[in-house]
Amino acid sequence: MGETKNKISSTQLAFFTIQTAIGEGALTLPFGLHAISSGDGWISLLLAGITTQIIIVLIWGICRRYPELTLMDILPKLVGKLLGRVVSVLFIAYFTALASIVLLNYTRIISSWIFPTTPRWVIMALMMLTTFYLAKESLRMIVRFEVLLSSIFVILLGLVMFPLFKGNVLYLLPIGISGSGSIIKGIENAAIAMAGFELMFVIYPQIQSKDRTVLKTMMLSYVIITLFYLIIVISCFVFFSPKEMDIVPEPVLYMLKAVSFRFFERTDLIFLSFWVPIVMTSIANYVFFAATSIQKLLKVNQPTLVTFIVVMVCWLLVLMPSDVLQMETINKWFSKATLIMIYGFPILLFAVSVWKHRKNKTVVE
Amino acid sequence: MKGEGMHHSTQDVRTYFQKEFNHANDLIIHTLSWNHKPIHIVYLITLVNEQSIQDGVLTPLKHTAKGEFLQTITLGQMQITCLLEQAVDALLRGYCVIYFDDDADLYLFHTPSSYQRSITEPVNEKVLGNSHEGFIERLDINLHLIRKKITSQHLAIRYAHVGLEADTKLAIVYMDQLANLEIVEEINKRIAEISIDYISSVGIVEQFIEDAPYSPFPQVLSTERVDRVSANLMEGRIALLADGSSNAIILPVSFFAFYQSPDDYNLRILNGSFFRLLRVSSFFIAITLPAIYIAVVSFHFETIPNELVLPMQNAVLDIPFPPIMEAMLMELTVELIREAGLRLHSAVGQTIGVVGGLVIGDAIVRVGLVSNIMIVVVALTAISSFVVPSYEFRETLRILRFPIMILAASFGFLGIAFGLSILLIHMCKLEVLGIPYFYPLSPLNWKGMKDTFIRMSIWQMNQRPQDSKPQKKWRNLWLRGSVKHGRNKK
Repeated sequence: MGETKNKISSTQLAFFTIQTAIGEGALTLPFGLHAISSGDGWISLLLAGITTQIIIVLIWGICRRYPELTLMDILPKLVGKLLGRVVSVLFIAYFTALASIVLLNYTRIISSWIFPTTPRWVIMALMMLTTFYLAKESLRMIVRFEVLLSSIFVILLGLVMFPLFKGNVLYLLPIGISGSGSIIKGIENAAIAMAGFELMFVIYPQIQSKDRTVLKTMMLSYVIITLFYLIIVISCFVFFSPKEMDIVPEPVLYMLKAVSFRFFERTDLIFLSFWVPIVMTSIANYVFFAATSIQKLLKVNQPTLVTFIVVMVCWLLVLMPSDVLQMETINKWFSKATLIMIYGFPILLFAVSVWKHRKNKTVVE
Repeated sequence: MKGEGMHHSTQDVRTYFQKEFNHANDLIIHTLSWNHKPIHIVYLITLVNEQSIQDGVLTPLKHTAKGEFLQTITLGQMQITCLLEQAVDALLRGYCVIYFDDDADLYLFHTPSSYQRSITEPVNEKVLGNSHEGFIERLDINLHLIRKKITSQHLAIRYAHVGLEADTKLAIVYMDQLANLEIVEEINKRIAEISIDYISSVGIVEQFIEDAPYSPFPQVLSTERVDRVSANLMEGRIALLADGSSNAIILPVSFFAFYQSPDDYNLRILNGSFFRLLRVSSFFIAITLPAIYIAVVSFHFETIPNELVLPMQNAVLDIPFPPIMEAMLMELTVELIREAGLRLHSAVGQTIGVVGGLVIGDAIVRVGLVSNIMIVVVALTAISSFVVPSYEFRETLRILRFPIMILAASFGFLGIAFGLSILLIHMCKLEVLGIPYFYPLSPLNWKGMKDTFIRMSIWQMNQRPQDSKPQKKWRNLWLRGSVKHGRNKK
């Protein structure tokens, strides 16, 4: 299979981005936002959406200068060989850790909602097995599956719509009650749920369209993702009163629990089960990024083996923390790391690349 | 002894033939005297038509004692060779070999036995209204049927021979200006690379040329219907036929080809679409229904609406086994009945049906081994898996539901979600000769969807299915002439 054949179109890129970004976070995001900025959480979300758009432009600005290279090749050129290697390893660690965190959080939800007695490592093993089966393929194959899977979103979004019309819009008022400080603090929480745009660093060379189309596609995908989160957050906020919101850690599921049909009750169970592939694709994409980056860094070409190692590392990582408190600490610590990796580094790298570019220009002149 | 085109004595040739055929009793060697010379006529009596040898060779030789040899024989199709090996080969194909003592040339006349099965409708691929012709076991007749159906000089037929010990003639059939020639080339290459003693049916060839032999999904469409083959040829696909097999295999095909029946295109658009939708949904019912039952009964009883809880509880309460055992017992019973009834004489098959279906089905509920809801589920599943108009795909559905049942028994709905994910990933990954198997769903192509879940009107399907990568993307413009498309307006 030739290198040219393994490219993806811009439509496929959009679906790939959406599947990477939307994962386990959607279930808990409303709770996290409400805890910090109460009824104004949706404003934080919108602001986070705008911030993300800016970062996308920055990352795109770096990538378009090196259209044939991935992050692992760009970094040594920007910051020198040694530092570049260190940052590369950091990014690989970040990809692996993010896959593990998503796995950890989702397994926790599944354990507490459906299978309280099933050992968690069994569910994790099942998840990682499916992940391995998907992530060891080429990008083209992964994308094919994820485009198909996106049809689930439509069904799930429909389910979320039911409570939206049952809710009380007055719960959102008064707007701005929590004050600008809390709203800005809430951005941090929302920004982590948005993670996924850093995929440009890894798969930019494999996108088949012109650089402007890539930017447009990425921005549009993130508009869709922001809207999706917005619908979920607002429907939770209008469905539960502010006091209730404080005590439901997975508001989306509690909300769906109330939706029942004549032929089916407990919609939350169906939702949770069929949300699995969506979460799985998030994990699989990050495992894929980690595996591709490792292969680039070590200059080997063994996707199956490297993916297997990454999957095993993820699985072993999540086996360690056992109690809920520990998980919370890890989550808090990791969200700080995420901010640095996907918001801090791109800004820095962009500055460096602009500076280098200028210098090159003056040298030429 | 090899025939090197030299003078060979009578005795030599005779011994050679007898030795080559191990003194087979059906090898007949006549020696007559004609034109004052001895003339030898050799044939395998089990392969030739004795009447045509009598009329075409023996009688003319008796009546005209003089003249040119070749003008005397009234048979058509004649070849001259001086190689004895070639003569042996010809004898095996129903030729009769004539030679003279002082002549190195061997005259081969094609006098095959004309025995053949009559052309009937295929038993396991019935259609309601269309051509009722089906293939038979003779390659030349089958090719004749296709040629008759497609009157075009672009129909290309290429022969190939496979089999080291006993060779079988294959035919690769395609439309020269439609089919993707790279794929034709690839198939030719794969067939040429086959190394096997003997090919008993075209299904063996299939196993040698397919990409993923361990996939549960059939990757070529096997059919006995002439109309199905010709319709697929016109879409740019390639058909493979073998002598001695009454079915053709069509490739490359995608998942949805197995759900298309020639009947769909004769029905009205709405009806055809409805039945297509029904069939495709039967795929999901056949795979997931028992799994959903198991998941609900063993894990998610709370998903059942209130009104249904009591009847369900009454049915399940006294069953001694867990649902997975119950389901396995019943599914295996159905599989056993099906497998037993399949290859038996129809009279015995009916008995099996009665014993299996009525006696076991009824008694097993009364004994209390299996709940009656389980019986309903199993029956529905069995019927759904019969809906597919392709024999091989039915087999696929039969085995696919077992792993999903086991997953459902261990992880409930979650297990089903995982099972279906892996299945979908597999289908997205699968490629047949470089063609994606799950096209047009993955990679997604809206234009290609006109002939998948529903069947759009014929004149809207003016783009050929792109999964076979045909040379011409568009069909010649199909119009309804003066009749307006859609509603008639005044």
